[in-house]
Amino acid sequence: MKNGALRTWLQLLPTWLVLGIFFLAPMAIMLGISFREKGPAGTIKPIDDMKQYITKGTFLNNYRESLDPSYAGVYWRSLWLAVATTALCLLIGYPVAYYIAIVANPMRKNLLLAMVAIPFWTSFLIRMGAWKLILETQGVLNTMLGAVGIAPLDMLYTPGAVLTGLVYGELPFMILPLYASLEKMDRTLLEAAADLGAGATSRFFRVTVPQTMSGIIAGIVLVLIPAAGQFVVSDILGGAKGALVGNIIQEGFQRNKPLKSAIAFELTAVVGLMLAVYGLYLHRRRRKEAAL
Amino acid sequence: MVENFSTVYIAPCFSENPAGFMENPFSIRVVGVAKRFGDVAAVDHVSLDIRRGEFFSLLGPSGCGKTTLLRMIAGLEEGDAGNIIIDGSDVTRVPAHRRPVNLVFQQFALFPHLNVEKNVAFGLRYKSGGKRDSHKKVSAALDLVRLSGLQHRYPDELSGGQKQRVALARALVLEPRVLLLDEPLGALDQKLRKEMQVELKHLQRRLGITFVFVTHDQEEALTMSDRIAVMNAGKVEQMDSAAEVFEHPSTPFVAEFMGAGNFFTAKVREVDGAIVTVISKAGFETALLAPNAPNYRPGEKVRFVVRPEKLEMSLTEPPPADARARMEVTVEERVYQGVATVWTVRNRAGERIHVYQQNVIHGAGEQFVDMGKAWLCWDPRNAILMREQKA
Ligand SMILES: Nc1ncnc2c1ncn2[C@@H]1O[C@H](COP(=O)(O)OP(=O)(O)OP(=O)(O)O)[C@@H](O)[C@H]1O
Ligand SMILES: [Mg+2]
Repeated sequence: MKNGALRTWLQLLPTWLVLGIFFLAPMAIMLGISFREKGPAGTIKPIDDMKQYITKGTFLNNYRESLDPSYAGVYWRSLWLAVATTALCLLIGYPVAYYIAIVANPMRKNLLLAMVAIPFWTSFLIRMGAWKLILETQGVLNTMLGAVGIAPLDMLYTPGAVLTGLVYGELPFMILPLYASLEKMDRTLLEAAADLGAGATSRFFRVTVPQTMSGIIAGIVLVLIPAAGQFVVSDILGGAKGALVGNIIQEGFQRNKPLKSAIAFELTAVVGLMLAVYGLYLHRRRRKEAAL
Repeated sequence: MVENFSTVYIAPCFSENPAGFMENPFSIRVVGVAKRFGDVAAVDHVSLDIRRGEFFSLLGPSGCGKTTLLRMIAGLEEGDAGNIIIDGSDVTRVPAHRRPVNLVFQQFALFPHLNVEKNVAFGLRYKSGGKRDSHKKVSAALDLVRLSGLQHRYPDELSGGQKQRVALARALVLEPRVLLLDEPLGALDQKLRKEMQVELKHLQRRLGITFVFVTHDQEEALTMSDRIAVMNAGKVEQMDSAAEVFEHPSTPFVAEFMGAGNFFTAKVREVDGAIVTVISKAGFETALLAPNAPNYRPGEKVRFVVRPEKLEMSLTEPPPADARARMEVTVEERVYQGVATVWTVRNRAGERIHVYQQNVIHGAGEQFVDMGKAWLCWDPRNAILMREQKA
C-alpha cells in the first residue's frame, strides 16, 4: 500500500519537475520580487530589518502604488477590451467553426482548417505591422474609402484599432476548440430534437450550444487570458490612447521590477477571479437544472 | 401480396379537415418510397398501409433498410421517390419537426445535458397547449413507463432499460398519433427485453396509438405485432398478420427468416383445384394445398417447406392407413436445448432437414442417438408450396 503510494509519486515526479521549473518557480520568484523595494538602477533594495518591513507594511508598497488612480484608465480599458475581444471572437468564431465542422463538404474541412491556421506561419509582429498599414490615415482602408468619396478616418491609435488587432490575433484560439467540440457532437441528438418538434433555432440553442459548452469554455479561457495581458497589439496599433496593462508591465520593467511584478500579479488575480465567477455560474446553472 | 392497392389516393385537403382523418382507416400510407445511398438501394420502392391503432412491425435482417424506411416516415431522411401520407395528408415534403409522429431511436439519443425530467419535457413547448401543466404531464408519462422517482437523474446515471423508458416517455408525453420505434429493445439483456416486450404491448393497447416497430428478431415481432412486413434488401417480401407470416410464408426468404429452413425441391405433377401434387427430389409424392394453385403448371420446378416443429420422427415407417406424408432419413446430429432437442437429418436427395422435438419426458428421443435410419412424417396441410424465386 505504502509502496504503491510511493510509486505513484515517483511516476508523477517528471510532471512536477516540469511544472515546478518552468511554471511555479518563476511565479514564486516574481511573487517574491513584488513584495520588495526597488533600488537604484534597476536593482532590488536589500531588506534591513525584516520585522519592521512586515509590521510597517512596507512589503505592500508596490500593491498600494499600483492602485494609484492615474492607472485607472488603462485598467478599465484593458478590462473592457479583453471582455469585448472574447465576446467578438465567440460571435465570429462560432459560425465559422460551425460551418467548417457541420455545413462544409467533409472533403474540404482540412483545407478550411489550414486556412484558420495559416496566419501562424508569419510572425505576429509582421501581421500587426500589416494591420497598421491597413488602418493608417494614408492606409489601405482610407484609400478605399477615399475612392468612394469618404473623408479619411483616424482609425489607427484608437481603442477600436486595438480591439480589431486583438480579435484578429485571438480568433483562431476560439475557432479551433469550438471546431473540435462541434465535430465530436452527436448529430443524432439534433435529429431527436427535430423529431420532438424543435425548429432550427431551437435546436441550436437547446442542443448544439449545451453540447459544445466544453469548446465554448476552452475558447473563452484561451482568448480572455492572452487578450488581458497583450502588449504587442496595443504597442503597434494603440499609441498613447490605446495602452493596456500589458504595456505598463512591459515598459520599464528593468527599471522597476517590484512594481511591475505586483501589477502582473494583480492582472493574474483579476483574470483568475473572472474565470472563477464564470465557472461558478456554470456549475450553479447545472445544479439548478438538476434541482428543478 | 404487397402491392395490394393500385390507385393512390392522396387528398391534401385532409390536413385541414379533422373529420376527414377520422374516416380514414389508415394511420400511415407509404407509397412507392425509394432511397439510394450511392450504389445501395436501401429502400427499394416500398408500399405499406399501416392501420390506425395497430402494432405494426418491420422485420428483416441487418442492413435491409428498416431504419432508413422509419427515418423517412419520421422526416429525418429525404426519399428519392414516393409519398408518405400520415392521417390522410401528404407529408412527403414536411420537415421532421412538423410531422405528427415521434421516433424512439435505436440508440435512445437522450440529451446528456438534461436530466430525465427535462428530457421528457423537451418537446412539450412545441406542442400547442403543451406547456400547460407540463409538470403533471411529465410525471404522468414517467408513471406510465414506471420511472417515477428518477426525475433528477442524468442519462449517464441510468441503466440501459431505464434509458429506453425515458426515450419512450419523451415521445409518449407528446401524445403522437404514431410512435415509431427503431429496435428499442436491442440494447437490453434477454430478461429485460422480454419484460419490456410485454410492457410495450400493454402500453400500446391501453393508449391505442399506432406503433411501427422495427426489429430483426422474428420471435419479438411475432410476440408483439398485429401485422408484420418482412423486408429483404430494401423490398417488402410479405406483409400479413403475425400468424400468417409464420404459418404461410410466401417466399423462401420469409420462410427461412421465420425459422422454417426445411426446403424440399420438387416438380409439379398435376394441379387439381386448390391441390397441387408434386414429386419430391427424394422420390416421394405428396399433395399440397395451395391457395394460388392455378398459378402452377405441371412439370414446373417448385419448393415446399415444412417447419421443424411440424415434423414427427419415428424409427419405423407409419402404417399406410396414416394419411400423413412421409420420407425416410438418416439421423446426423443432435443438439440438446433443454426445452427441446433439435435433430439434423438428411433425406435420400441429400437435403438437410431440422426436426424440433419437444422434450416431453426425460430421455425423449433416446432411440435416435445411434444416428441410424428414421422416418419423418407430417400433415400435408403443414407443407407450404412456393416457387423457386419470388414471383
Ligand atoms: N447514411 C448512409 N450512407 C450510406 N449508406 C447508408 C446510410 N444509411 C444506411 N445506409 C445503407 O443502407 C442500407 C440500409 O440501412 P439501414 O440502416 O436502413 O438498415 P437496417 O435494416 O436498419 O439495419 P440494422 O438492423 O443493422 O439496423 C445498408 O446497406 C446501409 O449500409
Ligand atoms: Mg437499423
